[in-house]
Amino acid sequence: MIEIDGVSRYFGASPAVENLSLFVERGSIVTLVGTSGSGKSTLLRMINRLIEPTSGSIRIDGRDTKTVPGEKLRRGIGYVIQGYGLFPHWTVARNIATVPNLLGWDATRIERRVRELLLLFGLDAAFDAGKFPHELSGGQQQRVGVARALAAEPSVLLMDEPFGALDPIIRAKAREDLLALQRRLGVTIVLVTHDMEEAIKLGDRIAIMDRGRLLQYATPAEVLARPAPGFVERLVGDSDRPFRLLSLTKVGEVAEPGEADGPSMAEDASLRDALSELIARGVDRLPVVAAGGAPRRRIALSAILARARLTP
Amino acid sequence: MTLLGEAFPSRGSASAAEFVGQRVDKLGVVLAALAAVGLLFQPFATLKANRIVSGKALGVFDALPGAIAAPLVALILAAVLLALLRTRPTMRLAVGASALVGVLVVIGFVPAHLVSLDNPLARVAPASGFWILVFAFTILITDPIAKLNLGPSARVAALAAAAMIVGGILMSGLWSGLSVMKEYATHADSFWQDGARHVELSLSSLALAVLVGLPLGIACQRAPTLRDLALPVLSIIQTIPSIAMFGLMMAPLGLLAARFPLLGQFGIRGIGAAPAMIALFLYSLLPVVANVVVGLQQISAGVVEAARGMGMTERQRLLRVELPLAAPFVLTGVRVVLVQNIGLVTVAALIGGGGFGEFVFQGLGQSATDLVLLGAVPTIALAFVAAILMDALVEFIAGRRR
Repeated sequence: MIEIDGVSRYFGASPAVENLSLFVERGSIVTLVGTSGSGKSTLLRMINRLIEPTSGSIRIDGRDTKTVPGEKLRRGIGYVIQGYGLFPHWTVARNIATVPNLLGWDATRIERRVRELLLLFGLDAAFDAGKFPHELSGGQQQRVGVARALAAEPSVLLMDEPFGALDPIIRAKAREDLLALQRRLGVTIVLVTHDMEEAIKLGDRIAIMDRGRLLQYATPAEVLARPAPGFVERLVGDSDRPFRLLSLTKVGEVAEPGEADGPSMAEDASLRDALSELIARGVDRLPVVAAGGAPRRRIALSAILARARLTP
Repeated sequence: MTLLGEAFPSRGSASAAEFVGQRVDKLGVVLAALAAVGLLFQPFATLKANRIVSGKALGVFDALPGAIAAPLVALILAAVLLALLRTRPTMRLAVGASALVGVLVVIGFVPAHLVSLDNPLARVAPASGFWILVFAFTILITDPIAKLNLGPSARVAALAAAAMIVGGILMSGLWSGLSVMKEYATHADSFWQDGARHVELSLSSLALAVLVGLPLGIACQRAPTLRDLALPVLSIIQTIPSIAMFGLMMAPLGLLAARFPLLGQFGIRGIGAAPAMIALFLYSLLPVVANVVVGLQQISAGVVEAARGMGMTERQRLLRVELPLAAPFVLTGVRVVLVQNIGLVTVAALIGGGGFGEFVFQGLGQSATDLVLLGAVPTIALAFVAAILMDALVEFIAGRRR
């Protein structure tokens, strides 16, 4: 749980972040989205006090961050940046052990934790642990960066464009992995991105910033359906908007009783996938299968189109 | 070219040019010409009645008995022919090394051939032909070594092998008839004393420069205003000629010692080791400070940001991340300073600093070239060894990560 309360940051006379308040629920993902210079990174870096707020206060799990020395605060908060900033002169294992080492864990505990994380992130504990960062692929480096941030089991993870350096295919996979990981660990994540697609895909809630101000803070569905007038509307208002909206809803939520011919859709596929399948097959309904052998249902084109309408 | 060659397979006048282009090594041509000049048109050794008078220049067959001169010429001819052809680097290395060792060994036989043992005043010295041959074959060795791209440990091993060969020749007494070694024999005590002083001055001024330069470099990187002030001042110091610098040191230190006699008892005087050391230290500061600054600045911003974000204190960040990552650059600065100091210490002899420069300036004063060589050759050898060792160390440290 992060409470950001009336926080401002001035660089000289110009505000980077101005009187901004935000509440991040425990165990949720909030994506901060905006153009460069919107203040989103400054806001993120004020949470772990890499940048000190000029005014206002930030509380993590009820505790004002100002009451803790900066270094101690940061050791308790995971931090992942674009390009990862892995220490090139340290092995993968030592990189991951950075914060546990700073916290003075004993060697066996650190070793156990590093092994556990390597396994969790699909890295070979015996083979990869002794490698240096430059010997890893981009995707592996990214995973080591996240593993390093989570090493001391922080309750909060801050991520600044964590997928920015990955190519599109690996990026999609890395996003999936992050979502799965977050569900498993229940860690609270604040993630900065300039990519609306990413913000929608990952965020339980999206905070849209422009020129240091918070313009809208809502769920992805709400941002797409009812964007705040002006900047947000322009940001989400391109031709993809109905499709983005569809990608947020699962087939199972819209399926109706009845039969249909053709290959069946899974219940947890998105409406966007279903629409694409319907168009490709040139039909207006397809059968839907439930995981637990529930009665057969079907998904209809008309129901999908109704969901894509922007003004319900 | 190859396309044309295939389309018109007839071989005519082109084949000779082709043969030259494909089979003849270009550097080999230069080296062959050099060796030919050294062997045919320059004297191999000189014979002087005593150490001061000018001597008589002698070719290979005049300086050596035929039984030694003929095999030497054959060896040189064989080496030159092989150098002309394009062969594997290891082959060229072997050829160059055997020719070089051959020339170095054979020069040792000259004195016995020219001078009878009961004439202690006569001096036999290697002449320009010998030096040209040594130079040509050294190039023939260094070229394949560079091409082989040896790792740091292999280069140190090669250096050790070379040192053992030269050391072996020296220990065997093969060269003891040569004039430089006769100078050594008369100066043996002070030679090692001055050698130790030379190394001591080079290393202590270096240590002092690192001790001061490292924190100064770190401060310069942190505070751009300090950097903009310190680096230009240090560059100006670098431009002061060394003799002027040693002179400049004499006046203030001399005054200081006159005012506080106690200082003089600790060796802080206008002449001697103290002013030499301070001058060398001042020269050393720029390379050290500049390399520390560059080393710290080349660290990617992401790494520094991550170190801060992980909760490292300023001190932890510096000691665990920044200095280790800057180390190859800092060591490069140390290498520059070490080689530079080994050379500059020679000049320090002018103000009584000691070192191999003593022989150089004594030799210059007495017009005794051999005495100059007794100071100059070890200085060059020291600088050469220091450069190779430091390069290997830098590469070794930088190669283990990246």
